Formats: sequence, C-alpha cells, structure tokens
Amino acid sequence: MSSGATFLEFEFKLRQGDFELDVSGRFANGITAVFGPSGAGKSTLLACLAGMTTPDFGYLRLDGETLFAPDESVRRKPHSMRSVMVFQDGMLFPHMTVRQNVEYGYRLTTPERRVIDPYELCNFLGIDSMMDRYPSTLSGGERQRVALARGVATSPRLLLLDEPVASLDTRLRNEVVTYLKRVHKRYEIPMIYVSHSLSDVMALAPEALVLEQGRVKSFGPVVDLVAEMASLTRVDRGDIDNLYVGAVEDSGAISIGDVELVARSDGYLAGDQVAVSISASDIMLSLERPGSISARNILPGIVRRVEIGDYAAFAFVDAGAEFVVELTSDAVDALGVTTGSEVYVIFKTSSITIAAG
Amino acid sequence: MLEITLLSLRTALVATMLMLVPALLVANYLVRSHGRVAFVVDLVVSMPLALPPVAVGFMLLWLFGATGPLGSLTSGLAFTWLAMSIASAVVSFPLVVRAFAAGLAEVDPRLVFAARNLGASWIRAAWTVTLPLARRGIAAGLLLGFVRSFAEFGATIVFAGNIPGSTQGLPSAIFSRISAGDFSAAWQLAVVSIIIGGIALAIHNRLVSRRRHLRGARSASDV
Repeated sequence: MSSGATFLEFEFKLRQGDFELDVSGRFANGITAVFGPSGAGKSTLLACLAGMTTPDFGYLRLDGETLFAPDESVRRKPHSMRSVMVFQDGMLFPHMTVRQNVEYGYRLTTPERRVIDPYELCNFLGIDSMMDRYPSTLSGGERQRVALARGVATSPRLLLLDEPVASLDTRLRNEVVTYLKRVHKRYEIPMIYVSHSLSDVMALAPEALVLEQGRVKSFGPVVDLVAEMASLTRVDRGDIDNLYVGAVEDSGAISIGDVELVARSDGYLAGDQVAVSISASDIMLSLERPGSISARNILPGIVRRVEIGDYAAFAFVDAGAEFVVELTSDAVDALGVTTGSEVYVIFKTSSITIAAG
Repeated sequence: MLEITLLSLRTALVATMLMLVPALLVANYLVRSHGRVAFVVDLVVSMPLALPPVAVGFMLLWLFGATGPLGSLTSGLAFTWLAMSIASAVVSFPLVVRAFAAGLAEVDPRLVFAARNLGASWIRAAWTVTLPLARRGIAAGLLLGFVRSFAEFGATIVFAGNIPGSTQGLPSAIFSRISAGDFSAAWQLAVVSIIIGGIALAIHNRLVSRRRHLRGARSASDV
C-alpha cells in the first residue's frame, strides 16, 4: 500500500440528506489521487479535509497534528487548517487583481511559515506578466495557474485539488497538469488530487483512493485502475491519454524520459518545457521494426504488464518512457504479447498533442 | 424650515446607521439558512411591512415606556430625537434587510470559503470578500433605508411625538401645517421632501439598474 510514513490519516462519517459518506485513509507524503464517478463523495471528502464541512464522526490527523477529533474536543477552525484548496473553476476573487489574489493568503501566513516567495512562484508558473489584470480577463488555464499560485503562496502543509482541470479542454488540461507536477517537484507540497479522469490521475499520482457511493472501493497503485478500465466500454471510461512533461530539443524533437519524439513543435523554442499527450488508442504495437511506414515514432520497448478485460486490453510498455497502449484482446492473442515481450511502440506525429508547460 | 429639514436628515442618517450592522447580520443569516428558525426570523423582521406604522409606534412606546420591558434600561427615551430614529429604523428595517440579502445572495459562498481556507478569519473574509462583492446591494439597501426613514410618519409621531423644535421633522411638520390650515407652508415642506427623497431614490435606482446591467454583461461574455 502506501510507501513511506503516514502523513495524512483520516476517518469521516457524514450523512447529508440521502447521501452517506463513510471513508478512511492513510496517505504518504506525495501526490495521492481520489478517483471515482461524480456523486461518489470525492468533493465531500475534500471539504471534510479542508474543514469546510464538519463530519458527524471521525478524525483528521495531518503531519502528526490532530486537526479534527470531536472525541478529544479538537475542532480546528477552517482558517487555521493550512490545507489549501484549489477549486475546479479557480474561485479567484473577482474584485482583486492577480497580484492581490496571490498575495491574499501570503499576507495571512505568519512570516516564519512563509517558505515560498510569491513572486518567484508567479514567475515559475508563468503568470508574472499578468499581475495587474483582473480574473475576468484571464483564460481558463491562466486562471487555474493563478489559483494554484494563490494556494501555494501560503506555504501550505497540504494542497487539495478539486478537479482543477475538469472545466478545461485537453490542451489546457495538460498544461495545468504539467504545472502541478512541476510545483510538486519544486516545492515538495503533498497533494490530494480529486478527479474523474484517469489520464490526469495517471500522469500525477502513483496511488489512488477509489470512491464509490460514499465508500472506499479500493486504495492502491494507479496502474491497477487502468487494468480495471479494460472491463468498461469506451463510452463509460472515456479516452485514456498518456501525459508527459517534455522539453523541446534543438532539432525540434521533444524529449520525454529517455526518448526523443518526432512531433510538430512549431511555435516553441528549443529548451521550452511542454505538456505532451498521446491517446492510448492512437498507439500501435509491432513485434518487428516496420520498414516502410508513414508513422515517424517507432520506439523499441519491453512489455511490463498486459491487462485484458471484456472490452479492451491495455499493454504497459517501457520504451524509455512508460506508454499505456490500448489494443483489442484479439490483437493481444494474435501477437502473443505478454509480460517481457520485446515490441515496438508506433504512433504518428499528428497523434501527439503539445501544450505550453 | 431649515431646522426641520436638518432634523429630518439627521433622523434618517442616524436611523440608517443604526440599521447597518443588525441588518447585515440578519440578511447574511437569511441568505445562508433556510430552516424553520430562519422562517420565523424572516417573519419577525418583516412584520413592520405588514403592520400600520402607528401600531409599530404604539408597541415601541409600550416596549420602551417607563413600565415596559425595556423601560428601566432606557428611561426617558420616548419623545426624543433618538426615538425618532429608532421608530424610523424599525419601520425601514425589513426593506434594508431585503436589499442587503439580494446583494449578499450574489456572493458565491465558495469565494468566502476560499478566503477562510487561505487563512482569513470570518470577520476578515467578510470585510475583504463578502462586503466588497455585495457593495452595490449594501449601498442600495442603505439608500432605501434612508429614503424610507426620511419619509417615516406614523410610528414616529406615536413614539417620539410632534414637538416643534425637538421631534418635529418634515412629515409631522407637514401634518401640523395641514391641521392648522396653513397650506402654503405645508406645500413648501412637501416640495423639500420631494427634492431630497427624489435625489436619494434616483441614486438608489441607478445602483440597482447598474447591478442588473452588470450581471447581464457578465453572463453574456461568460466571465
């Protein structure tokens, strides 16, 4: 289960009308995803963690400190939880400029707890050029970056991300996911990432808590979830995208992990960081290196795992970077692909979507 | 006439200031709560709308009178200029609460939570987020309270009397002139009432229509 020591520990029981939440968890210090269909209780769980909703029973311990335990008469007020929420639609203060939004929580943080410089942070998130603008003049992706900056500027103990990319299109979604990754890497803030999209979860979190109808269905590695998706129809699960943080090379190629991709990087400069996404259904597998083929990306790799479900099969291939490839079970049989098979991962230049990252 | 006008202005201003904080608290409570208690609170604060102002004045007289429940705390309050403001405030209160509530209802409660979540105490969140975002509704409510207080007659004349030079504002002065048959003096005072009331009402209406306009523009540009 969790690697490392327990950082966050909770148990909540709550009844709201017909809905009942009954969940518990122990998370390590890293990014943990909370995954599940809408109505599963993801946002209610987050509201309990943030102190926005008071559970009927339970407790909450963060970094060795008890924040909520009615049995011990501990009920921390919302403004002293230091677990900062980033909302789906940003929830920026509309009457304040970007600067005032970012400084809002920073100014309320006691000086000895301020470990993150807000201006350096804004520069890092690429919003330093819009400090005097109002939220209504920003694009959806920009707003989410400002919302992220506003939260991170308080040097929080925990970032709670409530579907922060759900209202964005694929390109912007990848951009914001990339920023989240970079923020996590740089500032080492533990995060809980709530989403109903497996692609984001896969890109961000090694482990996920899966909720269903207010209860914990499972807790474990995110790759296990991808396996479960093979038993769902395409309509029910949606697309699965491979998301990466890449860098533009001098040649115009994009490097992710240990490999270089042939992609259209027009408009980006060498050295730029980019968010790269490739749909699992746009990738082919071959046992031999194909000779004459129009696809420009042909990468040798080794199959790490194959999951076969009722509606699809997924192969996890290590080809310098981790690729999830969607196949039919017939194809798996015909190729004889199993764990350890040596294969080529093949996809077209036009299957790669790039966004600023 | 100047003295009477100034007394009326002062009465209405003091009444408006008296209402500000309680009306904000009640309006905020009514916007966020919908239970049985909220229903009763709404009913109680709205009662002056349904009652004849004379009856409100009569109840205030009983409440603050020497033998009334609050009489020992507030001896000699009735028939003073402060009694005029209190009577006006009670009668205008439901209108102010309604206008404040309309303004506060436009503030997304998640914005207020976001402020709390970033470390703001409730009072700071109210001061930096709720009130600025509801400012038009609050300004509209204050102007409406001022206008209604400025025009108050029934409750005031019962609770504060009609003492020339002391508790005789514009409405009761007009009443006295009419009773005495001095119609030209009554007209003069009426014109002053029309001018001051009209200006305050015009500012109020402008605020309210501007708010509607802004809201329309916002939804049109999908902000």
